[in-house]
Amino acid sequence: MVTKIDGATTCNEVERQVFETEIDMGTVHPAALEPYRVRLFVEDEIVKDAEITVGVNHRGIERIMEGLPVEKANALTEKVCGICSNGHIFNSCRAGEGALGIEIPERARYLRVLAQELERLHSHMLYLGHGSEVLNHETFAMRIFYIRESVMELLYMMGGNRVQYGISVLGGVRPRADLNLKEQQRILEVMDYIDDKVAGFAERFVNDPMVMHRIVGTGQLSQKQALDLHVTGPTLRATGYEFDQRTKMPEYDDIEFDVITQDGGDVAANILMRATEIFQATKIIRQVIKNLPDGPIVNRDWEMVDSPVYKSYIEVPRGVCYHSYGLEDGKVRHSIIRTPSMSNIGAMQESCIGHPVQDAQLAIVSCDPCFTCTDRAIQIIKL
Amino acid sequence: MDLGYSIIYVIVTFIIGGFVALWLPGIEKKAEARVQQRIGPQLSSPGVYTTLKFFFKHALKPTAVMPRLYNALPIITLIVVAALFLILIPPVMLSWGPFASIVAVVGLLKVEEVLYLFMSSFSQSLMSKSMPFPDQAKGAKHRDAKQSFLETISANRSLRLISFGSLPFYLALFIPVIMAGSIDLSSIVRYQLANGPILFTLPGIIGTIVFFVGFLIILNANPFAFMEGHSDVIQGPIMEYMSKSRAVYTIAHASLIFVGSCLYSTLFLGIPPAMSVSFIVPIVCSIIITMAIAVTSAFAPLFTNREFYPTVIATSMIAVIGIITACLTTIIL
Repeated sequence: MVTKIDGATTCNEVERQVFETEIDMGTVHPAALEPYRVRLFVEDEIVKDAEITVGVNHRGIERIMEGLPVEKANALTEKVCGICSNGHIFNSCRAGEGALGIEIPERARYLRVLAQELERLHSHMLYLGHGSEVLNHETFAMRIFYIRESVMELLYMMGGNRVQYGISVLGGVRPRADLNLKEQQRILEVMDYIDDKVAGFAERFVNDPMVMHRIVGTGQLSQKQALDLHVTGPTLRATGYEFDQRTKMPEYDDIEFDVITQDGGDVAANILMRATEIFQATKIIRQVIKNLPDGPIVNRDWEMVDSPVYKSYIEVPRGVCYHSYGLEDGKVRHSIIRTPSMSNIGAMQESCIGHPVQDAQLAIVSCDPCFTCTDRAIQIIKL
Repeated sequence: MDLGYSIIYVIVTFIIGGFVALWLPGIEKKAEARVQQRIGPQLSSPGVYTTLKFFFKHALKPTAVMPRLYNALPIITLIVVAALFLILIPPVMLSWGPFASIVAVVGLLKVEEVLYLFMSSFSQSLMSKSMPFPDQAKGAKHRDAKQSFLETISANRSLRLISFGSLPFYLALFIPVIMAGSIDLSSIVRYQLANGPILFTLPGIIGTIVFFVGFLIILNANPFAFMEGHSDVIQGPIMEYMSKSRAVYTIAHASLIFVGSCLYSTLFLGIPPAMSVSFIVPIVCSIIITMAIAVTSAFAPLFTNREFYPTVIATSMIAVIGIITACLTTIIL
């Protein structure tokens, strides 16, 4: 039952609703992969309002970076996130190179795109697997993790590690990440395998009436809501809005790909969005391998100089990621990192509303949260 | 049959039943894993060794309203399940008369369901309200909302199961009753000895389908596991069980799968769990049902109310059709 209290009892004369029950989950909860707290205000198991709180995993990476030479600071940015680790080091290298005016070799540019798209593949498959787990459909989760393993092997082949690959360095990429012909061939084979397997997975998924009944119409977010909340990445595109930061990145100038959108903004649209983007990522990787130029992979000819704040935006698997550097004699004076989940928290809260408590985690997961890397010190300036 | 022999008969049947029951969780997990192209655990691991391991774990006082009663509930569940098994054993079935009837079966299963409601109501795990987080200091959008434990949701869902969720299962139990024209289990068995198993009739086939769906609901198995839903309440009512009480709960749950299968074998095949070669039939039934549960669990997502209500209504309607068919069959024959 909703009791409305009129303006006289509230501070700012805004009508306030009192809900019967508040159900809290977290900060430690097995359905959540990361520590965060969600407070659900419910009536008869239907969520009427939701509040997500982060902040228990703050590590202060930007503060640690201050005073470090930009190369060392870059290495730290990779620790921001375990899923899009390459995205962070790629973006911080971009910011550092922009600040210091470093030109990077063409081959290195291509290899960075390749690593970024491999990361997108494994991240989207992780999303599909996690979504299936929250649906309690373990078989779909196991199948997609099985396919994902092939991408993890490629990342291991390229970077020597499964999580922190350390591919990008200031001025190019690490020698370890350079690919010989045999490795390039292996990547092409895996792309064929992924296209085949993910197509089969997606077909089974959309033809499962029980699964589709669970996800169609659940966690719906309208395009207007998404734009009002400044939602980014695939979560925004799942509402039908065509925006992809990759179309503005010079690294992708020579590469053809489609910006995928879906209508609906619900869990089904979000899942199909990521599944379809997997095929675009394999398409990009094939183009990179086909057009991979010869030549050096790193430019060591640069100097540590002063620089005003330089901003860099890239499209990581969850949306637009922002890094900025201000340098003083090549050392970091200022650094800000903003991850896409920061923009998407509003969407996660909104998409829970109106659905059963059981669907709350599903609605949150459908926005592909990454709260640990979102735990950054922020200052909200009210204008 | 003298009393001493009957007692030995019952004890031996219980030992065999208990031994088989403890292997069923392993069979379930293994079958589910094979569907998912995984190796899965050892057959003995989820049932036998898990129970043994729990017995030797360090016990803490559970965070519950009445900790002692909360800890006693698995034992009561086990006693209820044992009582259900007891009335299915031929010497008891024949000598206990009215108690060994379908009414007793329904009654005991209802008690088992109510015990889940008690568990959910008592449990107050760390998962939600008790989590140390400075909510009160921080404030919230809605400050006057009463904080609730996750188990409260489980209790609500448990109540829903008791009120109507398990209806299809109980309707399915009445198909053999109508066919045999008696509520006594011994009469149902005798009817099948004379006329062949009910399973091989149209009402029997319908009853089997409904029995299986209803049994999944009674067991809180996927896709009806919303009392222990992994996306919100996690373990729900059993979250706070540890050490011996969890071991007893594991035994009770495994036993319920076995006893349910014995009930099916008695009602639809006319073969109760007896201390003879025919005991193989209930055992095979329990293995088949366990594997069917595993396959269903592997291929179905967790249902919410949107899916649960239509499933219960549809299955109940099928059960009613089965009952009508059973009535018509009885009239024609």
